Amino acid sequence: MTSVIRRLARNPLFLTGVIFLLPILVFAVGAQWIAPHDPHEQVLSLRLTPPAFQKGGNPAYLLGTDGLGRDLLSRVIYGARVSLLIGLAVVTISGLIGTAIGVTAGYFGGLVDTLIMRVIDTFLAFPFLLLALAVMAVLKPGLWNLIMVLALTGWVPYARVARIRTRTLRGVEFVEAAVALAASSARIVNRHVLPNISSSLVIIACMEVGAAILAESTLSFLGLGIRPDIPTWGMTLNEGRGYLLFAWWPTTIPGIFILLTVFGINLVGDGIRDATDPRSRH
Amino acid sequence: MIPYVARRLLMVIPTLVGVMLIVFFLTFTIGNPAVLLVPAEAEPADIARVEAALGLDQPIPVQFAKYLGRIVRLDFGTSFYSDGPAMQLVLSRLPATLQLSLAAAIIAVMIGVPAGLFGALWRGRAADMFLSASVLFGMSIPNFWLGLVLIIFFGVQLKLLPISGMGTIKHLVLPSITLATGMLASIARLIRNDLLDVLGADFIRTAQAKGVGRAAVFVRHALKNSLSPVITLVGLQLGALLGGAIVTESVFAWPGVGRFILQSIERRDYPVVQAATFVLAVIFILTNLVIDVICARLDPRIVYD
Repeated sequence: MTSVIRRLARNPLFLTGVIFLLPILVFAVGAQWIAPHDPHEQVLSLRLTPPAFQKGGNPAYLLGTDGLGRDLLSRVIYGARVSLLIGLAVVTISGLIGTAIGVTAGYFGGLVDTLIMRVIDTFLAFPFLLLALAVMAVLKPGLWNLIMVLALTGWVPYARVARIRTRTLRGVEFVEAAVALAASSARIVNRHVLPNISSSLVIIACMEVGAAILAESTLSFLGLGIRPDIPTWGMTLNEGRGYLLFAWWPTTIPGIFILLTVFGINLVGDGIRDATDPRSRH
Repeated sequence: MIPYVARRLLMVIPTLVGVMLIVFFLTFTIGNPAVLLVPAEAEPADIARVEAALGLDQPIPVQFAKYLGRIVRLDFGTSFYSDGPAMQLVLSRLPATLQLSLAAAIIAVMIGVPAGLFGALWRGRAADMFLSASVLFGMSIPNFWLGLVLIIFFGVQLKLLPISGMGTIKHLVLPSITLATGMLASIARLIRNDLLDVLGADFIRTAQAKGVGRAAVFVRHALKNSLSPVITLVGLQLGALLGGAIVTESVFAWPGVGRFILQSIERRDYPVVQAATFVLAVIFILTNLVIDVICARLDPRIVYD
């Protein structure tokens, strides 16, 4: 464990990721104390104020205002909270579903495995976005509905990895020994299989947080996200789209936050993978 | 070889049935299209007449049986909205999507493969680190946002390129770059990691011990062996590409299947949504089948039992 931490501390990409993520975490936790304005407050006389560093900017609105005169910085700060919440919730739920399905397929094999593989193939052949779009069009827009939709479409990578790893473990001596000792399937899975596959699943989860945030912003961008009173990054960006031809900031700025957050998460996830992967130790 | 292909083709059928099952139930839950087709002041009796005309008043199992019966004949019914056969409407938009996806795939392979190669060659040096960071950066860009930023910069500020529609090669530049980014990053990442795995293998050490030159080891032994995972990834990425086309096409008003699906979901135009999903799934499944066969030919370790 300490060697993993030491390797992480020497990895400049991992450290860069942490530097990107720290302010986002602070935003998410302390939005109500940090945000300079109420994210819903509309000052119509200050509509589309450019960012403070540009000509015509107003120092009270560092990143400018949107088409309704709302402070972009405050909206982005509150948006961090929603995005991180969605990312973590989606990964937790889809990770649990995918692991359960994958371990079941890999452990029991046979017909169960064949059936589950067909389901996985079906999900792979189906553009995820289409599934999410259709389900979101049915369900009422809302935070938990969105999380459920993304979890419903996000379990496949966990299931595939859990299945392969479980199948390999099934033939290893210590699992065969447990079977010979008449240990129950539940006990073998809990004591012998899960501890041995958890690290690969955690690494997938790290990368999938970023994917979930991207997916949320895509759905919000297409107008099928959360209710309009929650300022997510995707929605703020989408609202700026109408002003694209004469105001760059309402679309560009929320996108930069999405980009930096997902980039930070990917850097951290990649660093953890490298540090725990025995092949990369040289 | 032929039994292998035949067996793979048979395995396609349950997958397709699964896809169509999902599509059927999804489209049914989207909402009642009859309500959208009649004027706002219509009486309930008018709505019922429209439902009867579209066959929507029958029990769902009956509708599903009819639906499957029609799909076997590739008949998806008539669009509720524009009065043509749904399949024909979708197919007429397919060339635009294929053109965009193909352009994006070419960009992704042309840049992604060399980038991955150099990452593996310069492993651990500053250049490799820069490439790894760029790859992760590329995977982090929301592609709808990239589209908008490209529009702002090249279309609005510099006025260099058209920002919407289809026609000349210039129209293709911004959408295909937008669509290519994610795939490019995935390809570069896979090639680098896969090459590093292969370079650590015993047969590479044997070749080096025999005194084969560095370049020859790299090209003849390492590259050849990491070819099939790359081809496989390109196939799997195609799904992401076709899905990404929904967003990219709607940002750039590209007249393809992706934008058409989005419009049809909004209009509750079931037959079109069903036909378009079917077409995309078939393209994805067949491409991956072809790729598996190519890989099996390239790699003697794969046996077609």
